[in-house]
Amino acid sequence: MDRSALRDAPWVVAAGIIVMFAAPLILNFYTLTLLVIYGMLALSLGLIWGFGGILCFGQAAFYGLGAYAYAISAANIGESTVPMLLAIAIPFVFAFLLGAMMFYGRLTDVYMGVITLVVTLIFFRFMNTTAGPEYQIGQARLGGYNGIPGYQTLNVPGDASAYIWDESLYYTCFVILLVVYVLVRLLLASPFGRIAVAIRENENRVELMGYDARLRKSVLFAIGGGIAGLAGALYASWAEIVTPGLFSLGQSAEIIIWCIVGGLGTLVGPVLGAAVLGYLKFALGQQTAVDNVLVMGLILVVVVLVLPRGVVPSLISAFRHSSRRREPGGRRRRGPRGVRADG
Amino acid sequence: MSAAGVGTRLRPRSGRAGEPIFEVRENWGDRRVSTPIAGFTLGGYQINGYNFFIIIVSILLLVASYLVLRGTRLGLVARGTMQSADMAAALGYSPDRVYMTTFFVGSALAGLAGGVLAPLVGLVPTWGTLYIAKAFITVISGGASIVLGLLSSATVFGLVSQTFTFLSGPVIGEVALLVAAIVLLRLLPQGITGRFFKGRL
Repeated sequence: MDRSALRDAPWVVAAGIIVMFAAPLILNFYTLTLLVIYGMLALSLGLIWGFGGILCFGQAAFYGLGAYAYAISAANIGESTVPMLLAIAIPFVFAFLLGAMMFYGRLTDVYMGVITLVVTLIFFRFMNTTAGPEYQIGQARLGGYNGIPGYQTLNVPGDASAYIWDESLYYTCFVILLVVYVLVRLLLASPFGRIAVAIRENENRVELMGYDARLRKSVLFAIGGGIAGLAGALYASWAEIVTPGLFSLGQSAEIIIWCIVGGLGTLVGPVLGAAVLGYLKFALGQQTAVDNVLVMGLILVVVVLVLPRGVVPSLISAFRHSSRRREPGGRRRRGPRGVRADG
Repeated sequence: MSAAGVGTRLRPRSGRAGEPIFEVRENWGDRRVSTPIAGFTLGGYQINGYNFFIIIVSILLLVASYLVLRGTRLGLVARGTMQSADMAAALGYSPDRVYMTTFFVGSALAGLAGGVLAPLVGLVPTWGTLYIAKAFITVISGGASIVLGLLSSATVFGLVSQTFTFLSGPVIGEVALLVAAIVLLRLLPQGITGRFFKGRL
């Protein structure tokens, strides 16, 4: 366990708790909950891309899979504890199988991107065709383009009538996000996480040292899938309907944009990127003067040109630069590295 | 390009090569434009003249790009830069400028594709997104050889997609294409031309 890697974690969690109580002063709970869910989704890609070097164009596949797994099982079971666990387990297993197929096949960067993209598209196309009555799992009809409405939303474990919604759903999601953040931090500080970063830096060298990079990448990919599935389940509980749009190309692209803008190689970056861009999309959607997509595209172009490493890593290095100058004897620390531009 | 009808305007969109250009129709009142070339009958079948035109244009473009890449100095420099940018720079060619030129050409080709296809489809500003994923998948699955790779992957995917569309409907056809891409990449991790036609253009 590398304790120095955990040095920042308590401060981040403390800041997170402050934000958790401060944010409702500005925005309503309904919007905030969605932003937190987006943050968790971005965190999942931030983990596997920023630390594992695995560019996944199809994180939306696990997100949607988690949402659908939750909706289908909640409609059948009528209590949310088991569906919640299933919504993590199913994307986890699916991501592990998909990852194993790719990594044991020695697929690299861009080929991997195509496979993950294609899997998302298959889900999207398939779910859109499931409108007929023959597509029924237990009591849940898949519903095709219209999706699945009317299932049990999140409740207090064991008590199906005690719904968690609005204000309490927001706090629940935020606490879950913080817990996931701490768990991911612990994972990255563990030997497994450190080897994952080593694989990102130089896979050949790690393999020559005797580690099985294929298995480790598959497991890391599966963990990312599980987190995305959890985000999907929370989304399903928030939106109270799941539609094939969750699997869409736009959704996948959005996750990647959050990570790029927020900054790869950090965990806070993607979360902030998701929250800020998610809010911006929400705010821009309320006016008609400028097209929403246009502004998003412009922001991405400007960030990539001006801050190629993303906002948070640039801020961190700027901050460290200035604090070093103030106290010459201060600790020298290397800023987090982003992945290579071609990786 | 005037084939698309009066009152249209081409707006190039910066992006990767292979991304189609959107055609924005300004005159929303006049939206019904028939395809510009009349069809003809061959035996008992009616053949759409414009579809035939698209086939001919694609073949011509493919042959032309093969000839340019193979026969001209421009093509030689472009291929050399793709293989080894440092070496090309050492020999006095600026890789940045070469990339810029190939990007121009790629974007122009994408624009032509959009223009040629426009009369067949209902145009909306987001129309191009339909093709991003397919273009991406086809190019990557082709592998390192530019022309042969594209030709082989496009043939495979087109056959698979159309066969399954014919057998059981367009959605299954689309899914079959995507599954074919996964199977193909799993078996040939470097694309089709990573194993077959190796080293050819």
